[in-house]
Amino acid sequence: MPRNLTHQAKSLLLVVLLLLLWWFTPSFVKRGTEVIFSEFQAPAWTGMSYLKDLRSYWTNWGSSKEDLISAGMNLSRLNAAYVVRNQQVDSMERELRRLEGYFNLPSYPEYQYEVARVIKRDLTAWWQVLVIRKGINYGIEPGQAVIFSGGVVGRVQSVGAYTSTVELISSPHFRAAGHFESDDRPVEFRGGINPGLRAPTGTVSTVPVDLVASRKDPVRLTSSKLGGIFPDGLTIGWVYNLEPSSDGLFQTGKVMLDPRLQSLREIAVLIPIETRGDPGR
Amino acid sequence: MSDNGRISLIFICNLLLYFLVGELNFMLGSLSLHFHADALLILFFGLYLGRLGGLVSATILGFFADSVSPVPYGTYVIGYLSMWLFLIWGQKRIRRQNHTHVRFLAALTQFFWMVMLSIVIFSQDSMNTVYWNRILMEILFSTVLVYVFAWSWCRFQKNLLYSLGWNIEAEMSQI
Amino acid sequence: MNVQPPIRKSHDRLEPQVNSRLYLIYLVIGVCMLMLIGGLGYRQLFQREAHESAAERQNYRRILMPGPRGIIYDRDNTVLVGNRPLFSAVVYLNELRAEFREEYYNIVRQKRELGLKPDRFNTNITARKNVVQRYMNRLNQLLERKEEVDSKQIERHFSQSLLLPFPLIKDLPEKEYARLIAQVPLDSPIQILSGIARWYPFGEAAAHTLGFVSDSTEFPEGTVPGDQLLTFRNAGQIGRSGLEKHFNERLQGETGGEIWSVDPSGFQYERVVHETPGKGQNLQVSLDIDIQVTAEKAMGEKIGAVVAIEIETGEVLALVSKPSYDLNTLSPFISYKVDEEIREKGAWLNRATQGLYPPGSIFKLVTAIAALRAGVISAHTEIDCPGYKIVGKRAFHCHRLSGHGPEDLIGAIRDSCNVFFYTCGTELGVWGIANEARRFHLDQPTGIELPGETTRMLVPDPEWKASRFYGEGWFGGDTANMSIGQGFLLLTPIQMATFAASIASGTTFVKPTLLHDNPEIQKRDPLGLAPEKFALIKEGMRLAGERGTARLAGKPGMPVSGKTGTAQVRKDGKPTTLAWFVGFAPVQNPRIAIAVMIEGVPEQETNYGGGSTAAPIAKIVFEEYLGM
Repeated sequence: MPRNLTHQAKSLLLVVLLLLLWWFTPSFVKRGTEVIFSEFQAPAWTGMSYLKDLRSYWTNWGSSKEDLISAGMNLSRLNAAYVVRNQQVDSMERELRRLEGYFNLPSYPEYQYEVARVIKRDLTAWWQVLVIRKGINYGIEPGQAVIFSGGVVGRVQSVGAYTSTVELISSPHFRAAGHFESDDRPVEFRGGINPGLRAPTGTVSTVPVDLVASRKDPVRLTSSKLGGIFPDGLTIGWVYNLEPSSDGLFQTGKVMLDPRLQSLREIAVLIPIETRGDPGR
Repeated sequence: MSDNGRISLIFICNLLLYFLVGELNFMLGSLSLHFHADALLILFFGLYLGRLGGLVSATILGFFADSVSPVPYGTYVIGYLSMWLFLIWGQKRIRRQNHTHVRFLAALTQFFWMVMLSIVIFSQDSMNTVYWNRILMEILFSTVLVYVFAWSWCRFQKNLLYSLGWNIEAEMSQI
Repeated sequence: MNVQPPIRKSHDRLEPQVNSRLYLIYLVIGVCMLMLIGGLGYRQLFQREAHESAAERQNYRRILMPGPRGIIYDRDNTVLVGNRPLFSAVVYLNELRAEFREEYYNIVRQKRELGLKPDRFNTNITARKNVVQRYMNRLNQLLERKEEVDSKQIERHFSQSLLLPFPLIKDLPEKEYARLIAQVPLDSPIQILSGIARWYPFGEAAAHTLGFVSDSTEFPEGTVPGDQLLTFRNAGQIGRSGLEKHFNERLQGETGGEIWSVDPSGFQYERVVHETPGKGQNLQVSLDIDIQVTAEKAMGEKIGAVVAIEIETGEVLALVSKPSYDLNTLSPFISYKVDEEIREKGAWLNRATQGLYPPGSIFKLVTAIAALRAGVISAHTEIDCPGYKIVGKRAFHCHRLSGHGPEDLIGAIRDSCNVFFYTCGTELGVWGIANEARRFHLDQPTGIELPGETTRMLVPDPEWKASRFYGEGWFGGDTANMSIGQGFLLLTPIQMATFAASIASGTTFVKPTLLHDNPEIQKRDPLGLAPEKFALIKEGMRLAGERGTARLAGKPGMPVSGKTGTAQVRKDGKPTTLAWFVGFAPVQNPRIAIAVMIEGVPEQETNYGGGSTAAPIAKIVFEEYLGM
């Protein structure tokens, strides 16, 4: 390094050299560093998530017996209700299979639910992603659907050995096929720019002109099985207003998404049963 | 301990900050807010530590951020190096012992970085007021937080080093 | 002389010693600079405009986008032709520039490794094809298709319409559209565009009347500025037949467009102007889709035409031509297979306005009116029908070979007695009949708002025959034939419908229209027949509808006035019988007039004729219109 250069000039020179080196680095090396750094920090995020679990465990430890007993009773009631619901769902499923067979309808893939903890949330203006505590080790693959009790969460964007990144439906780059409740024509849903301190939103387009939505009579936008990613009928959001598009052929509208999307702690990844490999567990 | 020792120590501190900010954002997510603390991660390397150590640390931290962000790979590395350069440039133009100067430079670095990021990620679809509202809000929020915490964070790192036998203040007054 | 040059030291502040030749060089450079500045100034000041416009032409490209077509409604505001979304997967070739280049170098490298010398032109073509095929393969994989891209199409698009989307798959079904929406990333070069195709909710109904459209770049420029710029046109739709063609200008949307600034090689980078296209005007037509569909159902698989007209306004309520085709199979484009199918069954022809047929016995009404007006017959005229009449040296038979016996005009219309009209016609003469037919506008198109209405209808006379058959004379037999609607006469079903409407309204011509509430006022000429004489015609038709040949067109409680006809022609070398019915209802204050014509081969149906084949179809239409 030349001796007569100032500290700043030397730094600049170094940075330029480094950038040049970066420019000529083969892409597989770059990809390699990406994987290494991603996998390297994954255990830290996972560890922090376990710490959070531990914290909530100790919080519960401090609860009174009365609280725990009443919580247990509530849970058993809920369980009983779900057992009944399960039976109803089973019989409806059988009926559905029968009708599908009767009308010769194609059957859509079934899914296995892989419940995972959320360990990191990155909800910025430019992207909205979650990192979850399960990865390739649980058979998760990019593109798989992610849901929660309130409906659609998003799609698996990338998968690491022990963690996966999920792109939320509120992310500006998210796009999915949906349909309105009681209408099976597919529409296009896109995530949107989400202003801070407010519930997330998205937009829906290519809505047929005969559909009506109003503040008094909002319509529910649900996932469409036609897209091949999500099962049918899971809530994406609610539409309170539809406006005609410029060509007069379609309508567009704002979709109000579930505010819980921003504070999710647990989600479920839908793994298509036929593609599921042996996770080796 | 060697010079490498203190760089490693500061690097670990900043890596810890990186994870802590991640935790903070986990909580802020429910308010639809996000704190970008990138300038804080680079600040100490740019203002108080040697050239090579700073360069390497900024690059590694950049790789950390890059590997989990859905931006073209390398954006954060280049960004962190640019921020580091900016801080190096600022070294001679501010009084590093003055907390207002340091806060101001850190906030300015953070501001420029976020504006750059907005431009990199900018697309045709982003040409609306909602986008810019959110961006400005996030820039304002992050810049203010960086301004508030910059001096405390530097002081903490200086004190840490001092307690282990490195006197940054004394080194600065020698230069 | 030993002159020692002065010793200069770095700290000396002496004026430098300048060689005088340097001044010359400075001068030359100065002059050159002045010339340059002067030239630049001149170009800037004086040729600026020319350069600016040239630069503009080079730097900007204009893309015109046609607006969606207007909707066609029936008289009750039911959509007959609408627009449906058309989703297609496209790539923008200009966005693939970097990939084309990369692929080009890959191919070059591979060829060099094999020791081959790459041909620059062909390698570029192959590179472009490979890249586009790669995206097509991605679609194939997602949609389980096996599509191949056509290199020629890519090259044509690349050189002529670089800024327009290159279609990979046109008209994606809903399922495929949804799949691509869900599985193609937003930032992928593959984009899913929504366009417009015509949609026909009633499929085959009124296919010939409504018409179809085809892709075209022939649309007006609109108000997008920059008509001097290099312009690309997105494909729009242009009416090719029927109402779509006739009212093309009205239905066509307002053109919108964009202007993009481009780099020197024509790749776009910034949009500078955007104008949204506007929708075309809607059209409300006179058709009543319920009547139309009823008439088509009543026709079944028969070949022929039905025309129903509202007498008061001349509005066409139904216009059927069979065989027909499903308009949806023609949108967004007509495939070769569909074209072949339609051609094979002869369905392209609109039999109602383009089909020429001898009208048969229906024409007896013209003969009767002519004879009454000329005083050849009166209310009291009775003619004996022995079953035949000798004209010249030839016997012309009645359809009842045993004869009708003595018949007056009313009876002759009711029974459709040929002998009565042979007698009237031969006494009246050919010119009397021909002129009467012309008074009813039977020698000219009706002027309905449909393209392609034939102009070759024929009301013959001796002059026509002489010119057509090299001076051959007009014989009495020709007049006899003409008086019962046979011979050389050729008319269209829509003419017969307007004829029925004009008789019902006591006028000579009711101009048919396909527009609902058409502001154009029709001038109608009176029939020119004394009321008591006109009453004879109407009574004859009423009786024909009540108990005569047209009785199957009415029913108790729904009396109709009508006239049937059965004519023989040779079609494609085979004898074909035409079954006709014209009539109107209600008998008092008629509101609807109908003409039905069915082409048929007699062997295929027993009792084939106007009364048994055409009248029942008319009855169903009358029922629908009158709500009975």
